[in-house]
Amino acid sequence: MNKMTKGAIATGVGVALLLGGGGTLAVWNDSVGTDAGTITAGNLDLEARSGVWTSAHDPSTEIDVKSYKVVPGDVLTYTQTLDVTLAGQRINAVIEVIGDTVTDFEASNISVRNLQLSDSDGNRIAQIKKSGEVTASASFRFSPKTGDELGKGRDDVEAVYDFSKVQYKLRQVAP
Amino acid sequence: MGTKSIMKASALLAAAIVLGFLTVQGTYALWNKMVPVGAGTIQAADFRVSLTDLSTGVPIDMTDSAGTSALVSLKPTGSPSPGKPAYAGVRISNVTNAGSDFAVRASTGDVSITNVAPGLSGLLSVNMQAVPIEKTNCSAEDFAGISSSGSATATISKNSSAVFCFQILMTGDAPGGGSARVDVPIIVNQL
Repeated sequence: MNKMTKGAIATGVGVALLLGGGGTLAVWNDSVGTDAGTITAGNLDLEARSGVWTSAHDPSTEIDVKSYKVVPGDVLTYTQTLDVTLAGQRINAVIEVIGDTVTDFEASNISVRNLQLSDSDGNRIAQIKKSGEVTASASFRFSPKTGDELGKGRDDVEAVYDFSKVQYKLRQVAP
Repeated sequence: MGTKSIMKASALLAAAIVLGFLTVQGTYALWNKMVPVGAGTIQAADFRVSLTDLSTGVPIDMTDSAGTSALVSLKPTGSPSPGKPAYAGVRISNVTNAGSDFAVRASTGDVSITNVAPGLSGLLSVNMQAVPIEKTNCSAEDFAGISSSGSATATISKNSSAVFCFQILMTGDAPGGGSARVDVPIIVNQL
């Protein structure tokens, strides 16, 4: 065998060793799970069911406020059920009434009791700590003394009181 | 690094921290959700009352859109003369769009008789009477047995009416060409 042939064989063996060594290189290792589980966020949600207007003259009958026209002496009450979802061990929330009402009634001729909240037992509530139903109610009173003043016998005829921009806001508060 | 440079770097760091706190304070927020109340709009009724001269049958609103009281010119049945009264009548209708029961009381106020041409007003007097709503004209029978009635009153429920009849009496001979105007205010109050 001449020198050229010996050299070529030696080179081929070296290359073969290098290729084989690259595929089998390994060191010891091990793995275990952390067992930290999954973190899940809680929930805060508010849904308002359809509200109902009734008149003090006949509280058992629902009125359609779109067509019902109030007169002095009328007292209307709005009642609505809110579904509150609060999920979380440390979640507390309050419900606020936001947004402006718009009216052209004389302020002295009406009294509007803002929305009040009560739980299923009828107790007034300030802060909510768990999911459940909340009852909201408001009332509108058109004073029977409207028109008593001389020259104002037709005060507030065809006036409006617009609640359409009023919203409930369920807001998380620090525990 | 010199003392001056260290002080500058410390001041810069402190300013950054303060700014960081301020920024956090402004953006602090917790969960919230808003839903519309959906209570709609409350509307007041119109308090509309109409007056109809029985002789013409044409109704007009007692108060116009500007709040001015209407004037209904009744046409009596002829001219009164001694022993022969004239009659006129008006139908008062409660045509409100109120949502609830809305009864009203209509009543006449003080009669005013003024001369248009001299000498007649002192000879005239007026009786008035609420009559059944079916009446379409006024006559002597509406005042049978009534010696004097200076006022009329009626309660009118929603979408109903009342009729007031007027009897114009002349107690003496009228001067030639005399004429007078008789004003009878009608007042309607919500009950």
